[in-house]
Amino acid sequence: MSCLTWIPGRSWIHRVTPEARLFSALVLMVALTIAEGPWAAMGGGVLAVVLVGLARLPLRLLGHVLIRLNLVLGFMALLLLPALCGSSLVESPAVRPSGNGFSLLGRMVWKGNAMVMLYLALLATMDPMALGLAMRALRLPSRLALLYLLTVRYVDLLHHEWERIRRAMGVRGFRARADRRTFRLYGHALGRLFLRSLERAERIVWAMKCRGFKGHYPLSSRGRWTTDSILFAVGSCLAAVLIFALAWIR
Amino acid sequence: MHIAEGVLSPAVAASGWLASAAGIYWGLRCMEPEAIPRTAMMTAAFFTASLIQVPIGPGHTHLVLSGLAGILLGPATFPSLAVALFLQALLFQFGGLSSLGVNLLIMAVPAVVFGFLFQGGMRRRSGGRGRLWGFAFMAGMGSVWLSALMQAGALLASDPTFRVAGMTLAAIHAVSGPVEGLITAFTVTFLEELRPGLAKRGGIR
Repeated sequence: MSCLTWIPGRSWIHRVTPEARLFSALVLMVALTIAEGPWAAMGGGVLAVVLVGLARLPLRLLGHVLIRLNLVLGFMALLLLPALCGSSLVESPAVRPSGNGFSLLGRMVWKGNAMVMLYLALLATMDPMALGLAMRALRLPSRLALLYLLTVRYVDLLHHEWERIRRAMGVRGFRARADRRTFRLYGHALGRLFLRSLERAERIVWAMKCRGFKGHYPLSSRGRWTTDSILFAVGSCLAAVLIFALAWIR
Repeated sequence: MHIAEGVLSPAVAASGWLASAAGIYWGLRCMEPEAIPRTAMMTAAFFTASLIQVPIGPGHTHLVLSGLAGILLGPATFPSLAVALFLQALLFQFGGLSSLGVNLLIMAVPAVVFGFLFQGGMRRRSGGRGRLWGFAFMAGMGSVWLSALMQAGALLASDPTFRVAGMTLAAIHAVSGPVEGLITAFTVTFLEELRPGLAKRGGIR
């Protein structure tokens, strides 16, 4: 099984070029993070739902992801319980709470869900390799883009390698327990994984040099800006401005 | 060790991003071009390792191994963990993009600090196996503990209401520190036996 999953499809968002989608995701992320207040949050939520609709995400998958996210947020809410009940633990004279627990909780849940829906619609709908090339097209450092691309390429391979090592341990009767011996065997297994990956990296370096690698690859750094993608990028900039405006009229 | 999307205040998230960008830039500058594939392989390996469940007492924890990353990668820990965290945010929605800056600082700063401490400890005198084990244990455990403290700090700086939450999370991570230390120590001694000098000489740079 691959641990790199993405959501293929034929929606309008899928046709927008990866550069434009990455750009829009970053712009909207900044807007949603910085803009405060109920109206801005409302606007961000509506926008996220619209994008999810435009990308025609499978609802089952969306549900799974959002349930997992809200379980994490629910755990945080549990830890906020003393603050919600107004316990004296929180209200010390040195640190005064900036808002009450409920508004904090509301912001957390609303923003968290909106942002995750945004990424699912814009970024999870492209294959991870295209995302790496989009980073390059948006003039992020070429070394970072290459690091990302190579990592994406080899994550699955190393995952399989680890499963092989783990299976070999299982055949020899290893069972994970919370004791020193387990930790030692895990350490040795991880060491083996790292050594194998380093040996493979040496071979990759040679293969890359054979193909003209001199510190960077001639990755196409010119983005493809079609009319659709320009419209999309401009539209998301306008949406970001609108979110800021909503925060301002608070 | 991840702060979820929407939890941090705008100021904290933004300053986290700025500081991380500086860290990533520094890490990329320190990296030889030929070290990029090696760093990428190690990033993939750390990503895989973060999926491993290790039993502690009645429950499970998942490995972070930031101390090991600091020992093996040095400053390149910043770009490496940035890629790993980005993939985790994208694929599993662990953490998130807006909190990625702070999450990266929380993990990479302790890793690099303890990586340098480890190298310093190894340089001073050619110690035996015990010394190697001890320093690796310290790096593994120390980096997780420092990360836990920084996480609590980030939550507290975000909103004082998170005081109890931050302390509880720090306490939870404090438990997994010794386990991380043990596994890091065993991995480093294993690597030193098979590839002498790999960890001591500053990893894969």
